[in-house]
Amino acid sequence: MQLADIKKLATLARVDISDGEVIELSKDMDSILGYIKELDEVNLPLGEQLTGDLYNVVRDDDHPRISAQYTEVLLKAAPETESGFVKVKKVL
Amino acid sequence: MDIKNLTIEEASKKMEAGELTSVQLVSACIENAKKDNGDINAFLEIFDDALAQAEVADKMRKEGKATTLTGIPFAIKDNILIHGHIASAASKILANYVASYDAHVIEKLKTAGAVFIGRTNMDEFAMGSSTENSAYGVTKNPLDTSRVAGGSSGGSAAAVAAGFALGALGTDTGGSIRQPAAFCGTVGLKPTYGDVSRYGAMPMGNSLDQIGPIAKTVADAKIIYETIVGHDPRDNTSVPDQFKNKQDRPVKTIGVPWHLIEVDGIEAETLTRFKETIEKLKKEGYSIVDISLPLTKYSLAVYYILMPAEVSTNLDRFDGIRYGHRTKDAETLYDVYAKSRGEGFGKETRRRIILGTYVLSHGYYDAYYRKAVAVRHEIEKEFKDAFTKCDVIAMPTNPAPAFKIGSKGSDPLAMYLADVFTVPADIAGVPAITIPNGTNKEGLPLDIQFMSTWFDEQALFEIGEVVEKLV
Repeated sequence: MQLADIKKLATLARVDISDGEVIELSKDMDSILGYIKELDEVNLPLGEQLTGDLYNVVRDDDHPRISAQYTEVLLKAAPETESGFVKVKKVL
Repeated sequence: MDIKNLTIEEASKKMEAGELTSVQLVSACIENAKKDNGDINAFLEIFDDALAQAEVADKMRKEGKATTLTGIPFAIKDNILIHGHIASAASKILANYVASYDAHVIEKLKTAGAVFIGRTNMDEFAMGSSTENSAYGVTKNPLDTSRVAGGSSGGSAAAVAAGFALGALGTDTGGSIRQPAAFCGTVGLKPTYGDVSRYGAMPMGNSLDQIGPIAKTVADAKIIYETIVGHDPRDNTSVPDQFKNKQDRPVKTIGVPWHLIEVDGIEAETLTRFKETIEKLKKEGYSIVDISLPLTKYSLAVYYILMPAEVSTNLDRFDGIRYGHRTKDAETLYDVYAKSRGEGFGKETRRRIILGTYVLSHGYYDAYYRKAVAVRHEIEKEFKDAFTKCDVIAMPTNPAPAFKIGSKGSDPLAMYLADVFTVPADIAGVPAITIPNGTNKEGLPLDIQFMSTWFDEQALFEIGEVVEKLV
């Protein structure tokens, strides 16, 4: 894999990676993808079915918990907060 | 007290007879851990409320409310949430993350009166086969400290083998319960996909992950399994009991896929011992049939597409905003994401995120992800067909016993190949158990693995107890 491709993937995945690691990863990817390539030997139609004989199980769209029940504990887990909000960098 | 040779069954009987208290039992485990954990590194933390939990358990017993697990000390993998305790998944990104609720399995164990001694080391986010990918150092194998305890649930297996706890919970995505359990000479069970709720376990590969027990004996593993199993609407892959087709028949026929076992990568002694045990089972009256699973040899390739794809999407949640590590060095919002993740994730985690991002990217999706899903369905069908010809399938758990720390070097593929015998059960979603199968010339534990049809864990306990007596 090209170094530029690894850098592109790292940007898409939002992971900072050093230049040295980009070189290592390009070798790793070649080796892993080379192994995975053995699937080419299998001749199968690519069906539409992506999930198996399963169906979606979702909860009823009602109120599963008391409003604001977990606000405090979740805010406590955030690295930076201000007056009851999670603090982030300027978005726009 | 010789914790290393004490089973849950025996300890429970002694407590019921009044010969032992949970406080004594838990104290003995903590004493062992305080003495040896510095070297073994099975526990990332020993909980300071363990003795208080033991006192509650002893009270429960006095009041006649005890179950078999009341007062039994447990080691819990660091990716399973215990309310009020740190759960870091052995990652720097969650170093100080405190769980805000109990996992379903923890609720179940708490109700049963179990005592949590501490949280165990693992490969970061369960990605690895040796715990060498932990941000907090490798777990050494208590039976030979120059070797790995296996992974990713290496700390859980080592804690049981070293006498730090009587039972443990691990998670299995590609073999992460069975491989370390086998390396440490213990029993490990990966239940059927959907059998045990993953609510409160950190997801790695959602279509594969299962929680299961590690213990010294099949009977102990069964006790833990029966406590944690059951439908839970909070995990929407959790299967309600009425859909579990329970088989009600003794195990008579054992299928052996020789074409998958007699391959280049398997160590001679591992293969010889496996054959000897199969021969013993034959003498016991079991019918041994050679079965063919032609596409199952592609399980590992399928796994290394599906798992990283799921990893790359799952780990999106670690963004430096809502919880976990946030970089101190960011100008823009993009920097917060990329630098927090770059600093917080270890090397293998970064590698799998990149691989997963690639196999899911436009233009490669059909060639990799869709292909892997299609092959997976064929593998499921193969297993379904195989279980019309046999009651259980036998294979070794590992192609070789525990390897030396550092011996797999920096080649990720060499490490991935260690999972070759464990991954098929995860791909098919069937349950699988590893049972100790004697030791090799160097005294390292060898293993045998059994798989059964979906929700037929009972067959695994049955054959497992037979093998325990034979070996």
